[in-house]
Amino acid sequence: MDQQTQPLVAMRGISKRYGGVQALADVNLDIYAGEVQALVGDNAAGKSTLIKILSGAVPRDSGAIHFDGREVDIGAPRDAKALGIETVYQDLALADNLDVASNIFLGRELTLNGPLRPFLDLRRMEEDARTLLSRLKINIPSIRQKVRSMSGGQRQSIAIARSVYFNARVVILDEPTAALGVEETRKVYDLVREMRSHGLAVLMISHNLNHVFEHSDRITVLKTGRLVGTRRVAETSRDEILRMIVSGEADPLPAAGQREAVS
Amino acid sequence: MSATGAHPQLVKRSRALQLLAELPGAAYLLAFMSVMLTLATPEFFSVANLTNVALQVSVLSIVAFGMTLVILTEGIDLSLGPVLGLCGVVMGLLLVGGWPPLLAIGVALVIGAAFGTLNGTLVAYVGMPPFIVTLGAFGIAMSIAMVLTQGNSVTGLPEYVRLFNDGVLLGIPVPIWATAACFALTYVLLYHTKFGRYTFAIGGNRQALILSGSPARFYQVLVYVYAGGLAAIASFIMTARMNAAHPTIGVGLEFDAIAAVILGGTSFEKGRGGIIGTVVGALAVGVLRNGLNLMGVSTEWQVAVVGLVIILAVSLDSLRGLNQ
Repeated sequence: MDQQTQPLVAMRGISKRYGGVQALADVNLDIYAGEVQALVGDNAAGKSTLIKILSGAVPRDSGAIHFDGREVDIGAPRDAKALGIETVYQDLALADNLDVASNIFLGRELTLNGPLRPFLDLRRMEEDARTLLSRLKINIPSIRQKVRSMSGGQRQSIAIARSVYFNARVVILDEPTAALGVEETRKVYDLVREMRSHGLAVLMISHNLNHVFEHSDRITVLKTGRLVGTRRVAETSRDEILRMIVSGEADPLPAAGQREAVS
Repeated sequence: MSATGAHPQLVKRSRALQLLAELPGAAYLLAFMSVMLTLATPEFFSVANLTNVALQVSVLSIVAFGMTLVILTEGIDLSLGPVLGLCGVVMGLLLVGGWPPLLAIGVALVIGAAFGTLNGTLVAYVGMPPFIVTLGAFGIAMSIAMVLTQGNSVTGLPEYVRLFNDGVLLGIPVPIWATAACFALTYVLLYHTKFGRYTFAIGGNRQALILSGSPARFYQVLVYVYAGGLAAIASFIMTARMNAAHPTIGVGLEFDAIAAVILGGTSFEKGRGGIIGTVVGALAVGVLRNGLNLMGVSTEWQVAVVGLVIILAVSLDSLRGLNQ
């Protein structure tokens, strides 16, 4: 490999089969700290399967995942979280009947110390949630409000904030703005930019090429479970990416070798 | 989206008004019935009668607390009534057989928890519908209670058993203390521990809880175990009140408990509701039954009235947009 920086996450030769369907075949993906990596492709391209493998929700059949240069074993969501890989699933992220702070800490509640350990530290969770939201410049009227009554954009922001809180190094976003209006979409991408500037690696699935070109650093194209190619946004065009999505063929790479190697 | 979501600032303007608007149907029902009964029958608003209501409501409340948690997880436990009957029978038989009281109570608690484990495991790990699982457990618990007693009541209990019902501490009857203790325990568990947080999360978004890496299924089983345990505790009071253990005494109690939970504003979907509403709901059911008794309505008709009131209260809540 001839890159200047080492990728934070390197997925190598990832394959996954569901019965007779080859969902992923020998796919490589690199994710860099401080960058936004977009994943695009038609339906059934394998985008969701790929992120589910990285987040531990789906086991892979073969292939290896390297994190920070070391090969790691991700077999369950817990393993991915231990590495700092956090996932924001489309519509799956929040419990409507819980308030903002409870949702941010869902599954990782803070408890009191000593003999009071069985009990939740409600105050500290509220304070931390408030600090986190203000650090990410997310505007939520009340931390004690139930998530149910909030707008789509607020909910998505909370879901993303939750992933960031636990020392995340990689945040995976599955269609982060699919159900949002224009203004809310803008706020979510503000948040993505905020995460990138904090040195996080962001992996994002999106169907909207405008958003992808505006907000990501690299674009990886998948088609029917195969890797078509990865391009830097600065060095590609909408036409090229569209061609790759539709035809499943990558244009020949320029000889300079500035672009990433394609399998 | 609900109306509250559309106008957050409007709702925020008056916290008191909002609380009033979110009160479950049971609160209004309770207030209405109390006023009507006070006007209609002089006996209703007397210390003796209100104490009687509280005593009658104690068993129902304790069962309903457990039922609340189960319903918050989008489940239901139809077996709690017969399990209560079985726990009482077993405790009664052991006490009559000369077992030490703590041991007999312990065995009854284990039986309640065992049924909860069975129900919860089949629901959470096997993925069976709670209605089917607990309907099966309903039959099993009732059969075992009948077989153990040949269908007869267990009588000749030691004298001290009556203390569970007749005992008075600081001027307050033991069953009311027990209900308060069960309420406090459930409240703390529900709002101050992971167990409670996950109870809500299982109903609100079980998938999210699983993806967060929490042992969601394990906690789901615990909810049923807790409900079974509370049914066992309620059986002690029930047995003491009757001064005998009847194998079928609990049958129908699950009906009242579900009624109390629903009237108290807990929804069958999405884990909405809470334990305080259930207290109001249980009181409403208790006052309703008490009022029907005072007015001379037969027990047979009372079940129909309770059923009618549930349908009315829930449809009113739906109209007000509380259950959407």
